[in-house]
Amino acid sequence: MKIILGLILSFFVFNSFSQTPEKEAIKKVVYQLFEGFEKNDTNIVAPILHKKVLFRAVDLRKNPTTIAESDYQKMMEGIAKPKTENWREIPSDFEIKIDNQMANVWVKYKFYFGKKYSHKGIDNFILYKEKDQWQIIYLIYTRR
Amino acid sequence: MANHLFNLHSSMKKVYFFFVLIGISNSLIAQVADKEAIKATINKLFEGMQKNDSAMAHSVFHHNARLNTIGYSKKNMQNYFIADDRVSGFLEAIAKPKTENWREQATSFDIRIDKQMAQAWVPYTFHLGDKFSHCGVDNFVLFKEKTEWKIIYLVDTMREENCAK
Repeated sequence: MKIILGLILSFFVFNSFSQTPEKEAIKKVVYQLFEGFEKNDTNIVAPILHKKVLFRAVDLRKNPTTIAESDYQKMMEGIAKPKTENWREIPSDFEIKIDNQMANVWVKYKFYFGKKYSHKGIDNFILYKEKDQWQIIYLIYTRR
Repeated sequence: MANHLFNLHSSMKKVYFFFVLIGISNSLIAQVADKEAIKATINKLFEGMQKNDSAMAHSVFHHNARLNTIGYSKKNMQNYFIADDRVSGFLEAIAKPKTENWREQATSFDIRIDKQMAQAWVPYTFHLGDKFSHCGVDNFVLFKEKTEWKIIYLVDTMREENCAK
């Protein structure tokens, strides 16, 4: 009886362990995107963005709310552009779900231009892992 | 006088507390209502699929919706990601008469909402008629247009093994 309980317990423990490295790898992708933003560096971002990625910005400050779309090319141009005040995006409270080679990240963020606070909202990422590297295939975010 | 002021203050506190409570419960009620509306949207899609009713399925999609698929190819022994806009193709497939209807069923709903944007993580099973076919996760993104929640993006995984039947 005790052995069975122990086995069941260790199953749960190992199960949660096996998700943890994946979750860390996924968080790293998000931080890598924001690092690319801050450093104006498309080379940092290129490995973690799928070429067919779709970006959508839901602007809750507008009435009615607008949805703007962007793609890989436009995002890379936006990152590469020299800026007087760098993009600084700070995430908090990651909620991550994984199903084999698909993952979802729901995370709060605050956005700054240099040191100046601009807006906040939710980043809703969807990621795909082809072989070893998680890549962003979809990002929809709210602005408020 | 001081006593009177204190009483006024405490009754104002009560009134304030009361309104805060109403505010909190209102937003909780709104969240519950939104979650139910989102589930209804998703179940309506499945109903349209089962009934070969492409108009019903069409009604739950945002005009700008995209559909993607993630899977594993046994032949190529690798994962794949298909990012083509195939809402119209999907609707055509729904409309097609079948000998065995598509029966897609949600096994659970995990929903997050930020005002007009929502995320629904929905493990599902898929049957052809009575025959089990495959399972996976439907990963929906929804947008609330005026009063209606519409699917603006859907990517799903599918597999034949390790499914809870």
